[in-house]
Amino acid sequence: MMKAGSRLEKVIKAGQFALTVEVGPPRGANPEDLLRKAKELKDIADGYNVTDNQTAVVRMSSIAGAKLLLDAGCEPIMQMTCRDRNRIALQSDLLGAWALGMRNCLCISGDHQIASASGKLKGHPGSKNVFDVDSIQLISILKDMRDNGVLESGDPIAKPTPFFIGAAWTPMAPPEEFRVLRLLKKVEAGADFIQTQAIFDMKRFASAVESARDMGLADRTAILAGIIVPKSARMLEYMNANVPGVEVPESLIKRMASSSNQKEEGYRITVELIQAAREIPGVKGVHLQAIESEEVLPGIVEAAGLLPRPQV
Amino acid sequence: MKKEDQSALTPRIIVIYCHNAVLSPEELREGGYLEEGFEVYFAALPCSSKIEPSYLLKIIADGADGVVVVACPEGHCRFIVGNNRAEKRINYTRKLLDSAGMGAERLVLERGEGLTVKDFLEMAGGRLEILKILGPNPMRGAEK
Amino acid sequence: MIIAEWKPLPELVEKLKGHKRALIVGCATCVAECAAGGEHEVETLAPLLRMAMQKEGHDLTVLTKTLERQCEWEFVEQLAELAPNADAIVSLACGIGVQALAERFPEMSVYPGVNTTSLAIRQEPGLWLARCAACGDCALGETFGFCSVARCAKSLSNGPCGGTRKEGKCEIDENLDCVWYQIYERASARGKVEQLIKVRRPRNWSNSGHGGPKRMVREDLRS
Repeated sequence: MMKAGSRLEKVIKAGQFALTVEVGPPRGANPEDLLRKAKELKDIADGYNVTDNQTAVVRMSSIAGAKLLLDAGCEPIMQMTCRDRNRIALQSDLLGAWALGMRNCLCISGDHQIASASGKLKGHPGSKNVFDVDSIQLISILKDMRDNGVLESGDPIAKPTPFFIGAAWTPMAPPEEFRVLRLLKKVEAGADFIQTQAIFDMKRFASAVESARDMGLADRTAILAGIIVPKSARMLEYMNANVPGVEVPESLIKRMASSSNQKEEGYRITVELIQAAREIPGVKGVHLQAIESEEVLPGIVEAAGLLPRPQV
Repeated sequence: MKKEDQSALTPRIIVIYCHNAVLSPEELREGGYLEEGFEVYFAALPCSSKIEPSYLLKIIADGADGVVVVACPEGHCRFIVGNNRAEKRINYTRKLLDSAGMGAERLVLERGEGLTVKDFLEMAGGRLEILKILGPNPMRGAEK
Repeated sequence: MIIAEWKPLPELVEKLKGHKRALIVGCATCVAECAAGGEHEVETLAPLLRMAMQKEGHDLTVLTKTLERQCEWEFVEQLAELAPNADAIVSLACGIGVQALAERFPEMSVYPGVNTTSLAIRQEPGLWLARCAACGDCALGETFGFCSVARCAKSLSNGPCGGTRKEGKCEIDENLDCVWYQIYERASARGKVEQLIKVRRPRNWSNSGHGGPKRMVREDLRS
């Protein structure tokens, strides 16, 4: 019995290795960029994440971006953070999103608005916080709207809104021992699929997935390993030092640093990571991110032997 | 009361010293010296940590061009941490002086032991150049 | 206690430019405890303000007084004789005190000299840490004594988020402990981690400022 009937759900249900990719919406209102990316990435993935003001930087909204992708033939996975909207706005947006054709939604806490002031950007660090509900409560809200046709208040909605519900998992952030228990909470709340924070150490990830399997979680939810395409040794060093939950083995940084073409080495590393993820029991797919360079994804996906995508 | 002619003002420097830092406390007397081109006044404290930002600011607001606080060398405070506290308070007060546009350099911390009047006069005289750059204290002659 | 910090001096100078005599009023309770508005700070601000104003070419006479508390009408009344000697009041109390003075002396310009920021504890001399968000729905009994509203940057009820740094610090500030890390450690030390597995429902924010300006009444205490 399908929960939402999205392609991602079908692929996972069919027992096929799923592939999702991330598309960043533009810092402007021009749909052209997004449509160009949709064209480049058509048919290479089972779902296309559209971020929701990532790092609290104002971008075209996830719902709008997702609708553009949908119309261009790429099934979107819209993202919702808890930072900017209260439960009223979140539920309202979910009703609207469903009406526009969205069927996948990733529920995350969201970066604090302080993160928006970085690099050249002034951002909006002075804006007011919302965080009315957290990501796990948001998952529950989607589940209730789908399975019980009610809002958080208990008030009924005219028609249930079946979403395939996603959540994030950062298995290696402290306190590590609690992370699999928090995954349990997300699954209990209703998470159908999981996209992890970027993994560079598949061995460590494998043991985290094993803990999840021991708790029966790998069957109740589909874990997709998050993989970021590395561009340079410096990028790896930066992520290792600054992105919580991301650990890059020293050997990988050295390997990148000593290569003659770091970009291409990055593609090779990505393909290896995908292949390593495939071999972990309990991992049902990968979630690929090529930050600000989505054009490299088709080549990588092909080289990883993930094309063509399965018929479902 | 008319403001004194700013250009004719002799720089006025207050030296606040820890009496444990001097060689012979009797040698120093409260009150002023008129040295080559500047007035200097001395004030003794049982420990440099007795200073407070409010006192230092009041001294400058009441017309002192510069203040030198003399503390014992690091590790030599007879009250163990007193001179450390003095340093922190002076740093804080310097920031406040800057925020008011008065210039942090009006206030400075000096350290030493076995000091004499001659040392103090040298310390005070050493401030003259920077005080010249800062200009006379705008509070000189202004109503309290 | 309520904590506050000095407003930037230029802000005060700007407000006081049109005035000749300012009365700086301190408060000997919360703001004294956080070294922002007690007698000490009043006596520090007074000469500083005089100098800052003089620098801008303004002669400002500064009077000072520190009250026990500015949130108590009987103490506020102690200003009645002094207030008419000034044409502006700068209150170093929290927002409550500033407004009490403004209410008692409606004909006077009353300016805040501090920014009130939080309900905090003085952890050690010179260090104050936020502890309470006045959310009106205290769940400290469920989080092992650590407030996840005031001490979590995202006020998560089911934390931690994926942003906890190494050494258990918060994603947004390496000096801040991740409170959910602390909650987990405490639960773990007590052998009660399973209490953290239950999914906490969305909070009811309406008993806090989110529900409208608070009006609390006790009929048994009214005259």
